[in-house]
Amino acid sequence: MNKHANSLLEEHLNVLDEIQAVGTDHFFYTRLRARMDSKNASEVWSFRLRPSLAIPALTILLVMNGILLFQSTQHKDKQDSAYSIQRFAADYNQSIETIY
Amino acid sequence: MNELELIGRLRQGDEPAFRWLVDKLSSRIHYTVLNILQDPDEADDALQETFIQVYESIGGFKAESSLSTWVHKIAIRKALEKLRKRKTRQRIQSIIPWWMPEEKRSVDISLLNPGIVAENKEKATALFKAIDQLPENQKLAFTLIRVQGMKHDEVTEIMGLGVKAIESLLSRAKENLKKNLEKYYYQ
Repeated sequence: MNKHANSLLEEHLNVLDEIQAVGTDHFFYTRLRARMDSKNASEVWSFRLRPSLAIPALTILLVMNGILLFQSTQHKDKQDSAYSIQRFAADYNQSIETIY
Repeated sequence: MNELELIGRLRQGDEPAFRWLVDKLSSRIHYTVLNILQDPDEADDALQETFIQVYESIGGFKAESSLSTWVHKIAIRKALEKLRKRKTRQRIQSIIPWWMPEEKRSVDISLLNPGIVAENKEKATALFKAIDQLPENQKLAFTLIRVQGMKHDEVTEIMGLGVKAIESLLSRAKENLKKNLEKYYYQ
C-alpha cells in the first residue's frame, strides 16, 4: 500500500518538471502605479474623515450651533419685552406728554 | 546598480529605481504568490499590495537580509493573509450559505502552470488540489522548494526557520500529499 502511495506521488511530482514559470504581463507596472495614485487620493479623504478629526469638528459645529441658537432666543426675548412695553404704553395712552 | 545604491534611491522615493525593482522581481514573486493562491486575480492583487508596501516601508528596511528576500517575505505574508481570508469566507459560506454567495474557483490548471502536456493535465489538477489541502507551513515549504525550485537556504531565510525544520515540513508535506492523492483517486 505504502509502495503504491509512493509511486503515485512520484508519478505526480514528475509533472512539476514540465511546468514553466508564469510571469506578470507587460501592464503590471501601469496597474500598480494607478493603484498607488488612487490610494494616495483616497488617503487625503480618509485623513479628513478620520474619527480623531471628524468628532472634534462635529462637536465644535454643534457647540457653535447651540451658542447661536441660545443667542437668538435671548435676543428675541429682549425684542418681545421691548415690544410689549411699547404696546402697553400705546394701549393706556401713556405716550401723551404730561403737563407736570 | 548595486543593492545599497538601490535602497538609497528607493528611500528617496526615486521612481525609476522603484520601476527597476518591480521589473526585476515581479515575475518571480508573482509565480510564488500564484503557487500559494492558485488564483491569478488574487495573485495579481497580492503582488500589487506587496510592491505598495515595499514603496511605503522601505525606510524601515534594516538590510538584515537581501532586498529580494525581504520583498519575498512581504509577498508571502500578503498571499497567506488572502488564503486565510478565503478560508474564513468559505467557512462562513458553509455555515450560512444564504448570506454569502458561493465563490467559483474553477481555474484551468494549465493556465496557472503552462507547459503541462495534455495527458498530464489530470495529474497536475490532482497534485495541486492535494497541495492546496496541506497545512499552511507545509504548503509553503513544499511550494517554494519543489514547485518553485528555490534553494533550501533561501527558503529558511524567507520562512524564518532552520534547515531541519524545513526538511521536516517537506517530509510531512510528502506524507500528507500521498494521503490526499489517494483520497482524490479512491474516494
